[in-house]
Amino acid sequence: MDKKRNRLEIIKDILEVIRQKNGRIKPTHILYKSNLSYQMMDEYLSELLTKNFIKEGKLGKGKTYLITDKGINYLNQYRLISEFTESFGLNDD
Amino acid sequence: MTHLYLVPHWFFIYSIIFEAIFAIASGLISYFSFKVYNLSKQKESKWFGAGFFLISVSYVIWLIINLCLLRDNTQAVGSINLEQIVFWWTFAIYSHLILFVTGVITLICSHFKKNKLKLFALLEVISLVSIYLSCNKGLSFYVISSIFLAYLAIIYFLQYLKKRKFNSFLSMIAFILLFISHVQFILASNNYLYYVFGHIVEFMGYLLLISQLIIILKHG
Repeated sequence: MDKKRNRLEIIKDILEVIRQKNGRIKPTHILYKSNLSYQMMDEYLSELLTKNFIKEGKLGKGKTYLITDKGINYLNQYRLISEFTESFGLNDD
Repeated sequence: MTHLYLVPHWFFIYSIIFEAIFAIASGLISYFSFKVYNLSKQKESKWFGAGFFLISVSYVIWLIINLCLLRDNTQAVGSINLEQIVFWWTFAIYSHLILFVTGVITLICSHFKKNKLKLFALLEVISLVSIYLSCNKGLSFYVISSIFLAYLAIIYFLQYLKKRKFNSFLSMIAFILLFISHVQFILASNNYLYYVFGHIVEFMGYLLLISQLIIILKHG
């Protein structure tokens, strides 16, 4: 069984999914790839929008999410973030 | 007469160096914690960084106090007596006490997901009122900070039991050492050797924390 992901890991996974889709993705694709319930995904997307890790865009009639420079920076520095928060016990949910 | 601690003359310069090291170490942890906060916007990192920042400033004040007040002391054992020093030094000493306690409380609150502010306010009021009303403010400061450091050590112990990871183990040992050092400072008002041992044990605690930081930066 997979270890339960903490909040920072889930954020990383969502951003990684968006990055893999050339930086732009539909909400339903995030739902399939992120292994989250709709409610949880919605909660995380709101958090990511608030933190400016992603922004909303439009592709035709549908809504999409784009990863921002802050989001990319988060992914690039994720190892540092993860190691620091784990070492000092700041990532317990 | 209220002594904060007794300082042997031969240890004076070493205590200055130790306090500078503690200030730098806690400052570095604060810096990287804020860096992690800037990257992740995780509130716990911000609180953690703020806690160590306050502790770092308190060490800087302690260093300056020791440097200025004990600089001209020629006795074999120097002391800081709260009743005899002038206003500005009283202000500096109380600043050190308040900043350190506030810093440790902030560290404790960083480990709570909810009700951080309420918990912070409660602990802050209880601590500062206790120190203010105490007949022996130095003793009450070291007792209160020891209790908080013990609580932090327990938090890290429980995390180590849950995760069984080396970095959790290092954090646990570091805060246990910081707790032990403060217990020794409690005793330093009667025997100057405890002031010496307290610094050495505290140094070991910060050495472990900085080692962790180095490991994190290497892997990160």
